[in-house]
Amino acid sequence: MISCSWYPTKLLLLNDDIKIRVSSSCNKYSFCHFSKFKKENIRPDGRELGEFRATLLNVGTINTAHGSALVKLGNTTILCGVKGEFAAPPVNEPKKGYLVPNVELPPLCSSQFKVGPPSEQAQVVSQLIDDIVRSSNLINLESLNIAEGVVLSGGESVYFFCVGTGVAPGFACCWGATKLPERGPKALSKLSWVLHCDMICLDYDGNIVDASLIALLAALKNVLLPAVRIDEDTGRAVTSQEGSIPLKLSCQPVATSFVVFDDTILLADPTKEEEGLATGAVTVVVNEEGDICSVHKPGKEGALYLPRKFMTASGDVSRDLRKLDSWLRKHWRVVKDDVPTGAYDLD
Amino acid sequence: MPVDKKRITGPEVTQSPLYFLEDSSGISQLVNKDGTRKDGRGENDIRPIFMKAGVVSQAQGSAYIEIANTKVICAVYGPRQVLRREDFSMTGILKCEFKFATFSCPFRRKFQPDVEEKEFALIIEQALSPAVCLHKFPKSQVDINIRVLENDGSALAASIICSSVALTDAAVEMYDIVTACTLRITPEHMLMDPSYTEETNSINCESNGVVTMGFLPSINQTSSLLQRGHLSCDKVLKALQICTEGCQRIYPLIHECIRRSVKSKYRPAEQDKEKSEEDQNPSKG
Repeated sequence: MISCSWYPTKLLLLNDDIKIRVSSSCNKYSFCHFSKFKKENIRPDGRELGEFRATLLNVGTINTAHGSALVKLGNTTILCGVKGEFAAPPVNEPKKGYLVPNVELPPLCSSQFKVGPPSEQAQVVSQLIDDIVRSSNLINLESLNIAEGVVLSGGESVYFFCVGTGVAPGFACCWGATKLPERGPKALSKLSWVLHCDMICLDYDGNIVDASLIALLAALKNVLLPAVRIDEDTGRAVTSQEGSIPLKLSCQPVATSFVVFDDTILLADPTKEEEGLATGAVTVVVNEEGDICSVHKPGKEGALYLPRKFMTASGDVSRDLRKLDSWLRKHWRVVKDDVPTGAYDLD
Repeated sequence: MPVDKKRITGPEVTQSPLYFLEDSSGISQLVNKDGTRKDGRGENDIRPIFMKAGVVSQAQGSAYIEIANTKVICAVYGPRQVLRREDFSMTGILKCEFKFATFSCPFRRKFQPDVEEKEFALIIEQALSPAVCLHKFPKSQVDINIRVLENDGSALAASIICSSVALTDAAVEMYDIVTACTLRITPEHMLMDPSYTEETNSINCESNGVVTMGFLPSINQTSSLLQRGHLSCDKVLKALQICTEGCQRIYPLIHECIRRSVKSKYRPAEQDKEKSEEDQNPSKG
């Protein structure tokens, strides 16, 4: 059940430590250590094989962003902030806007990441999230268009804009026409929203794809963009300070990650140690209708095993999917309806 | 501009909607006529502070601080081997990485660290080094990673406090805890712990400025000082005095935060017992 509790000020990190029930002389990260647990069908942190970690969601905590959400999946913590900016729409698709997701794995979140440009893993996860956003049609990019421009005679869509090279405060808007046509509408502005969705990992303990996607979805649900109108005389965009317009999301994709251990055992929601020891991994993204939006399976291990497990409708799979279903339902319930600002405990 | 190939990139030129506001006139006065500030505080009031140590499970030590809306998280890794050969030294060194999250400020920040962030990283390093027993870990470095998640003023002071709590949480030996305080100076007023608007508004005019001080409260020494703006000498000296007071007022909070985290870290069993007793007692009563 979702219990909604309100934390008006002291809110961001609700650190409910998961107690690790390990008292073993064996090295915690070693394979033999895991093998011991394997016999008992239980994992070192006390979870069952298909069990997910406790999830906490905290929506709308960052006031400087247009929308934000913090997700804790066990220890793994992802903070997503969405910031809207103006830009000219893409030349080939003048009716669209942009959604730019990026996942950051800073050296803050784990000792395995170094200062500097994004690590390979961060690039892979960013690309995966971008693919999911595109393939699931998460958001209709046409709804991010503000002013489309006007088609002049000759069927050519014309727009002129002079853009200052430096972006300084007080920079006047020059989107719009430099030369007004003699007939027809005066304004020729072309303007779209760019939604920069930046997901920062604050604590890296495995399974960041799932956490990132939940954070992204919850943050997008939380977005309120300011209203924009184009001044007809000047062609200049005018906005208000406060956000008022929510986004319309067309679906709710939720990712679920598994790792394969010992080629036969499937572990849901792996921790960092489990990810390190596993022989294969797979991420399945499902929308609320149960359609698969994306499957990501890096590496060759378990290449035969996993597709069989996920793609066919054998009894074994349906059992797994049923487990997955209850997890998805839990998350959909949160990300589905309007999510007011506040903290949520999903368990 | 070179294209960033390691990230998903949007359009090259984007503009913040804040440039297109209907009424773009800023606030002219920081202090109301009755002497209170825009958020209702008095001149010398510090905003409510929330601190917690041990928030990042992967790090040796970590801390999270909220000063009203300003939110900073810090993680400490090490002492570990010096990564670059040039950094080798017989005493230990502190390496600080400071970054504003892209969405932390009213205007969007870039991914690449800018000059301000590098400057802040250096200041934090300098503010913390005198407090750390660097000779205790020779030839190694301690990494301090700081993220400002939301900047509503006094981000530097919050980062210094946060990183010193994180260092303590990482059990790095220290002579003292570093506290910090920011003061905004206007021709008429001295505003303690300024918000973002107070910190940035008409800062470039004469006799306006911001002073941030790092302070070691128990040995009563200043470890760092950053002053911006055009100020007279007397004003700066007065500001230092007020900053010292501010730092002294924050010190007990840090103390309490560390005390709590140590208690929960080393005596979790007892705490559980207390908790379960508390749970049982009401049912008996």
